[in-house]
Amino acid sequence: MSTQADIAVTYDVSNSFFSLWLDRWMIYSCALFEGTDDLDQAQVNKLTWFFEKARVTPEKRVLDIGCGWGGLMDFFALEKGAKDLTGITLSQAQYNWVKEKGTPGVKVEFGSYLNYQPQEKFDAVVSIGMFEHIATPEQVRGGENLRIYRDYFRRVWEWTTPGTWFGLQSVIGALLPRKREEIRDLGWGTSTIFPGAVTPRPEVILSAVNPYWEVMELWTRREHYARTSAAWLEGLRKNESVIRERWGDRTFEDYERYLGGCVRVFEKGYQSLAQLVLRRID
Amino acid sequence: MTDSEILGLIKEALVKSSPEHKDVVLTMESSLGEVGISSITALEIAGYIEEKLGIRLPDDELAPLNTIGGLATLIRQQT
Repeated sequence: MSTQADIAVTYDVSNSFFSLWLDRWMIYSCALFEGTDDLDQAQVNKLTWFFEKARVTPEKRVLDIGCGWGGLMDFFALEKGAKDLTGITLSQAQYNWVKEKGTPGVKVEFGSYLNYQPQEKFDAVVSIGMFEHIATPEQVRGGENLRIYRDYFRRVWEWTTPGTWFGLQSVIGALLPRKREEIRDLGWGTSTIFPGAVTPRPEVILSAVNPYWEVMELWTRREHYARTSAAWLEGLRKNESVIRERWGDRTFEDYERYLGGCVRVFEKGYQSLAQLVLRRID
Repeated sequence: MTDSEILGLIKEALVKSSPEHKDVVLTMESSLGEVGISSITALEIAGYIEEKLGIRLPDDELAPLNTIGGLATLIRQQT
């Protein structure tokens, strides 16, 4: 699992920094550009997709593992009528932000999923962009990733009631580049912006769900992540002067390089994005 | 391909990627780490050999490789 210090590098730059270039729900993950070119609408499409695929209804208890700034829970509560939502996050800045918003029906807990012990079981689960933090690069090199991923799926199984549906989204490893500049580009983004994180290979996820979850749907959205990254990059550049002034040249330049690199790796197929719909095996 | 042909090809790819490795002696038992081949260099070596032989090595088997012999086996499987 990424450490709290790793998570702080990725998510604790500043809440207002991210708000300058993310959508209005503050969703820092791939959007769904179906029938729209607008980032706000594309994120709403994605949130709606997860609401439907996790079979969320107003009376269900919903868990969001790695809840970010709480945008998904806000959307489910304010736009879809969900009444009982719990998010967990290892980012102190995100935890504080969700707490301060105080959206009715939304609770947030600070900490790693490894220490999480819910008081009551959940009826629906969503996890977007957190799976990449479960195993570290060292654990993958040591061949421990399958065991660690399976342990994660076991825990979620134990936290849920029979009949639970689980919507999971993760960046996945696709092709490995062979050119030095491209390999370094990919490695730089991970080590500088996402230290401690790994993009799992899809076949490892499919193995790890067994024997706890049945894969009902698997979608890949590589082109959607290229478009999402391009929209973020455009937003970042629109705010260049304020970002340089408030957070320094280095922050602007690192994020410009990182988001530009994301556009390229998704366009070239070095990484992709998976959305899985899982049903609890009861 | 014989073992010595494969070792020669890997050495050629290694020197192309990292000329400072020109005096390194490779054997099938050499571990990539011991002879100073990083994960980046290993991918470059793979790319050179793929182009030279007109093959494509599977990424999922390439990523966890840690010996020259493992790479040689992978090349042999694809030729």
